[in-house]
Amino acid sequence: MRRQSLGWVGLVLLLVSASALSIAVGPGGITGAGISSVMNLRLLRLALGIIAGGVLAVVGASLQGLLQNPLADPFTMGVASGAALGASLTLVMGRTAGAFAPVGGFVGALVTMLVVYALARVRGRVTVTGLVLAGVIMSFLFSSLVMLAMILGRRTLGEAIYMMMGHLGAVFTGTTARLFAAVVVLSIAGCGWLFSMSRSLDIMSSGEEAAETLGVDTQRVTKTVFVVSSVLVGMVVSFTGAISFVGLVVPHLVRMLFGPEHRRVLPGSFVAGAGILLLSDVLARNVVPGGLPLSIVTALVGVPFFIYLLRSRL
Amino acid sequence: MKTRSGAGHDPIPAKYWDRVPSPVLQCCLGRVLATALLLVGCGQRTTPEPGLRAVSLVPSVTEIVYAVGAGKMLVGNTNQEDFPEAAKTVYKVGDFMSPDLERIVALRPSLVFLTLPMHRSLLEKLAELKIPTYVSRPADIEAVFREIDTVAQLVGRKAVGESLVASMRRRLDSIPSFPDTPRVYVEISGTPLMTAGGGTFINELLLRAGGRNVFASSVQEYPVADPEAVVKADPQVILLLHPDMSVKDVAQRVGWGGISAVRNGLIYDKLDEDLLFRPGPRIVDGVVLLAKLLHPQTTDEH
Repeated sequence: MRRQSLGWVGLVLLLVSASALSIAVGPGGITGAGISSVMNLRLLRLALGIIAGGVLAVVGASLQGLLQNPLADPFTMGVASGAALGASLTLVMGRTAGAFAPVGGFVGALVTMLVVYALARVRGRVTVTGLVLAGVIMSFLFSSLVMLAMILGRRTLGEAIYMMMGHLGAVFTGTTARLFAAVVVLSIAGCGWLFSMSRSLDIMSSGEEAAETLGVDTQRVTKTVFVVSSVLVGMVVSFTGAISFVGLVVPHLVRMLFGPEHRRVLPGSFVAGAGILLLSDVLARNVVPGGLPLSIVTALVGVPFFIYLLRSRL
Repeated sequence: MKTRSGAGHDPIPAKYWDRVPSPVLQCCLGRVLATALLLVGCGQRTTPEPGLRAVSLVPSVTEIVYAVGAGKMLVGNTNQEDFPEAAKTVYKVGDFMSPDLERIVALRPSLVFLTLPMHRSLLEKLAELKIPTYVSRPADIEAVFREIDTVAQLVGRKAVGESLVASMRRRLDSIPSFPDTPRVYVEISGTPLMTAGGGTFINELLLRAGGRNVFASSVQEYPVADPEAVVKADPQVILLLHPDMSVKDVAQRVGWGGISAVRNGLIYDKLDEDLLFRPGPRIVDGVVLLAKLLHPQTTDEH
């Protein structure tokens, strides 16, 4: 119990200090003319970072529990690449369509979900291995198609790179800001929905067959988690591009603090994911002039940690 | 170093055309077809002059070749080459980003114009095949003038090239120097924001047109622009050089309302981007275009 309270204090401190850094440090400085506009931009960026990091980590934790697979996350499931493709397609269709990139993201994620579902369905049942395999295949395909769409659409290579490697530099207009406000509400609702399924996820973590003998409707739980996750990831990716490793690593970190129960792992993952993504963004935008794609930083932090996990725990 | 004897491994070895009986080859490799397409495409134009058969993979060089009156020497170019109008009907060897080596070689060019770093691997292969190349990579307007001279010489139009450069110089020199130099933010992509740094052509064009690029200190050519860095720099003019945002979109950006360019409505889109990005004969038109935008009063009588 004491360990858990300390864990919570640590995670909240992480998020608070990451937020403070995110507000205080940036290319616009902290004083001078126009600083109120700069601060408004930083607050929006902060909100985007918290939602993106939180959602990716919560979805990663849910998928890992559901699939009993420590490698599951929005990217291994192909949903993030599908969302990136949907957003890219609306972008290359021209500037009128470009305002609807978020919508393209939702559609891309949902279509990917349906395709992965169809591929993974064998004799009326969706198997765990089938899902992961189909997800990996789709993820490769969609990454290539993002590149193809950008090249055919005569867009810069930089755009394709940031779409596939993530950034928090989204510029909001009145319309997209309202859209983002809706995304914030929906994201919190979606994470809440996943949280409400904690008990089922706990049972399913011990194996699909065991869960069924304990009276859990595994097919329904699988479908619900997968649909909610796809919508969440689709919304986030359309604003940030595909950010790697947050969804994969953060849940493991949180389980080390809190143990495997989802009613603690899910909220813990939201807080830790938000904090780690914000810290990564502070590094990405301030260390190199002009900034870096976010996944460079998250991968540099995430991969060593993940190797450690593989060697020591899994 | 690879040896020539192992020719079977090369896509089309260097001296293949000289050694093998030509009718077979012409049928197999489509040279006849290529020539026929070229003739059909060019309509009334005569066959290319004997001697020079040039392939241009660089839109700006194609413009130079036409500007010095040597367009009919071009036997091949890429899908991106759309100026002048006649350049569209030249046999296409592929995309600027991915020209097809076999199509180029099948045209038996005596000179291939290309650019780096885009065509590096192609350059190596053409060197192996002993096909002469010219690498276009001008760094500034002076280098464009030199390039026009060189290309004109290569296609046998030295005098025309010299007079073209002279007239471009006169036009450039006639642009007055402006007492005020507004801060300019150039946007080449909206998602994420990307701009042009100090080492780019557009940066020099802005300077010549009496403007200051707010990202001139960037070491990268086309860096990602942090939105708050743009707000902080407070540009007086914003140029949108990409199709996915309009003036209206930028005016509505959250947090951008305080930027001088937004307050004063000095945001411009739908500019002729080729004038600003192609280091060719129309580059001075690009400077004039920018000067008119940045200094509407001063350039009225100009």
